[in-house]
Amino acid sequence: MNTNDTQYTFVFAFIICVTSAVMLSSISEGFRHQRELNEELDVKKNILKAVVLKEPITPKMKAGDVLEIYNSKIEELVVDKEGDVVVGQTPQQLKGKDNDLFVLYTYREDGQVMAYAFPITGQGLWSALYGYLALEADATTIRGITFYKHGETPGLGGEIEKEWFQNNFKGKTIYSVKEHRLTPTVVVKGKAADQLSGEALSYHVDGITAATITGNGVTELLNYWITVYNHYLERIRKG
Amino acid sequence: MAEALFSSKNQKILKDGMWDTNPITFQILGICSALAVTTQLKAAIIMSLGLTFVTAGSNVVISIIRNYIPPQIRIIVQLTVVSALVISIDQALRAYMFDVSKQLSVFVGLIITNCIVMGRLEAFAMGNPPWKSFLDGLANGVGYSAILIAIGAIREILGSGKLWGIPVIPELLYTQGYVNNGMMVLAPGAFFLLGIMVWIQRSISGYKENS
Amino acid sequence: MQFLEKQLKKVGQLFERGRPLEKFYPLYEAIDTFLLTPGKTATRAPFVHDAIDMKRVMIFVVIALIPCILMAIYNTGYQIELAKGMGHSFWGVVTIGLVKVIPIIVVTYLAGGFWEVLFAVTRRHEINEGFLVTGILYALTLPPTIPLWQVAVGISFGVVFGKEIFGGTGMNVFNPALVGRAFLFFAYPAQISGSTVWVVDGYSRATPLAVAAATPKGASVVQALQEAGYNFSNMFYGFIPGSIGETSTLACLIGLAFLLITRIASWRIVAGCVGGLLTMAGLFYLMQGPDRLSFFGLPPHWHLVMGGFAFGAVFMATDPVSASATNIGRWIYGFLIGLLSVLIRVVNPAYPEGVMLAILFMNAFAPLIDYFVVENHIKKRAKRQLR
Repeated sequence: MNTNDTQYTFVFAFIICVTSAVMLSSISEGFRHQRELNEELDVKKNILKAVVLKEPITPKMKAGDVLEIYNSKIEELVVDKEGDVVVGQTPQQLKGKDNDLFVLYTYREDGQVMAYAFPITGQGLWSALYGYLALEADATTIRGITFYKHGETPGLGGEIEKEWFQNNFKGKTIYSVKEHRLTPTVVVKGKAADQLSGEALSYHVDGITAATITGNGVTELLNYWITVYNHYLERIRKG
Repeated sequence: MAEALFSSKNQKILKDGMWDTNPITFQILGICSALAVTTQLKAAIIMSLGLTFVTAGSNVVISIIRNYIPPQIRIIVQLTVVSALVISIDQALRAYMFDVSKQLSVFVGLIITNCIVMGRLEAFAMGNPPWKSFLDGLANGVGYSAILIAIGAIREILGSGKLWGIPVIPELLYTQGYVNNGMMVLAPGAFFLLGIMVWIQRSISGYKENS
Repeated sequence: MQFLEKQLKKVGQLFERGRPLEKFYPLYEAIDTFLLTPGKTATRAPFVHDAIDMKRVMIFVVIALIPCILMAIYNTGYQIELAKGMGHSFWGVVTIGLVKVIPIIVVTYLAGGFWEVLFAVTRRHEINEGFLVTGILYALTLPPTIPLWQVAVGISFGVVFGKEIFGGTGMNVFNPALVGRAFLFFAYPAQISGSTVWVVDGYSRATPLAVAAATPKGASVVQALQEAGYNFSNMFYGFIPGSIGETSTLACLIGLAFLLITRIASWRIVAGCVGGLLTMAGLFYLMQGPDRLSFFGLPPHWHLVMGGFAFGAVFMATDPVSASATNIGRWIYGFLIGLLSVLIRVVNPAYPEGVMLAILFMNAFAPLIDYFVVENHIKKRAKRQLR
């Protein structure tokens, strides 16, 4: 057999291509359901973490159980920049489109609204930060915050993914009822309690040692997203 | 003709790949992934398994069809086989070990371009029967894995004070002022560890730079 | 003197080949040649005739460092005093400084010396006084609040990875003291450049560079510095927080004068550094504007007295082993160090000081610069010949 023959080469290449193509597409198709489920689950777990469930999910929970909790307790809404709920739009349809529509999640326990949550993104020192911010039913107090993706220096800016940092935000208020103005949370350099007092403490949190710029990034992104969602939140505050 | 499965020749193939010509410390191949995925033991192990599977598997496949491959398109054929195996692994990880696949991100896909895989195909599988090729691929994969896992374990302990996600550095040390080594979490940390490994392995195996 | 020589000879016999202490010959050799001029002379070319050998060079560098060391001790005590607000006498301040600085130096020599001796013994080469210089340089670039175990880890890394893996003194590509410091910088950033640096009993004060980098857009840097208590003269004299030995530009200048008189440091490198720094800082100064970082507006000559520039340019960049060796090469090498220092200082938000990184970076390029300088020279000569 002459393996140098041109015709043979073409035939051989064709057979190899077809064989691997068939194999790969069947594998991809076979795993597709499971794969998509994982991706979906990943997003939903992060949302559930941000809204601070009454009974938090545990790593050992089965995928089906997590999804069931999500489906029964979280409602996905789409709002426009005026704060109106857009009917007939789902968050999945918004993906990758640049428009003035935003995703909002509400967390209900026995029909009672417990929290509102929305995605937040912004620039840190080295990388983009991705997370969710959840507010209590009064649309004023922070219930929880998560950062699930970032590329900051581990041990410094990377501390934003740690619980101690995220817990700092719990209970802070993003709106001053007295002064009728927004007070997006500010990450200070050092300890907030050392530098401020009184009402200011309700919207300032401790920074991360040697990660001032990551902290400033968090401040900026909170300021941006809280303003974006404010029209909707304002309506809730007014009741 | 009939040769024992583990004849002395075959044993030598195993020993070469794992130790004497270890792909990382002797051939200095596969460094990119050794730096990138070794911040944690778990990721290092998964990556090792993946690479060992691909090296051994592609060696066998190429060895079987080695006499039929047209020489002009030999590299492309090798690449196709390797890619097919790698993509299968990637898909399987995404389906069943999502967390790990997120962590390994592009590096599973990059096994395709890992010099160890192509190197073994060209250097060994193209001229040897399937069983020997399998042993060669396996040995090189294991040689790679040993280094990767060692680095992964050291980096996780020094960099985050954990092993397999479980804290191993006593709390007492931290209260005494011990701090995790931030460089171990970054790629340069792996680079230095790799250097030490090469140093140790070469002093034991008596490697001499040929001048 | 003769008595000492005799005694040393006597002890020395114990270390010769075949005698019980053979393995520790390097230790003996180090002490012997440290005290006395070596008894052996070279038997093959090259024969270099000079009044000073390498050991004397190293001793001279240590002498040149004395002003910096004294200033390090005094300023450390002074800054702690300032923080606590207690009025101690001069000697009280010095004592406080000694208590902080001496342990750092001792730990550096113990840990680094251990590796030095270990490698000398296993490789049977001589212990080199180069380590005396490396050790003190390293200690002076650390903040006083650094945990001592980190001091030991850093110098170990510096000696082993900065020097020994390349084959020992004279073979190293990078300055070992800076390699050690760079290791700490990346491994334990919070302790070496974070805001816990210079925290004395809960009181912290930002270094001038940190103040300058944190000045908001549109504000004047000079004003911000002055509000924080920094002006040109106290930064020049060095009564500011910073790494222990680097704060005083004056002390560095005294050391520089000594090194230039004894012809140990290359004036071209130092001049290059200053030139590069002024050029880059000058460019930034011209580019300043309301949308730019306010750090751009710092007058170029202020850069000279801030951070570790003076210390780095005088003692680190001029290290003959890791610097360029041709005269034109020295100019280029120094110039780029100065330029990169300012670039990193001003533009990179994560690293307040750029001198260390600039010197290490240029260490890597030094041989390349020399190569091109020499090539260029050869080409020129060849052209002349052809005509």
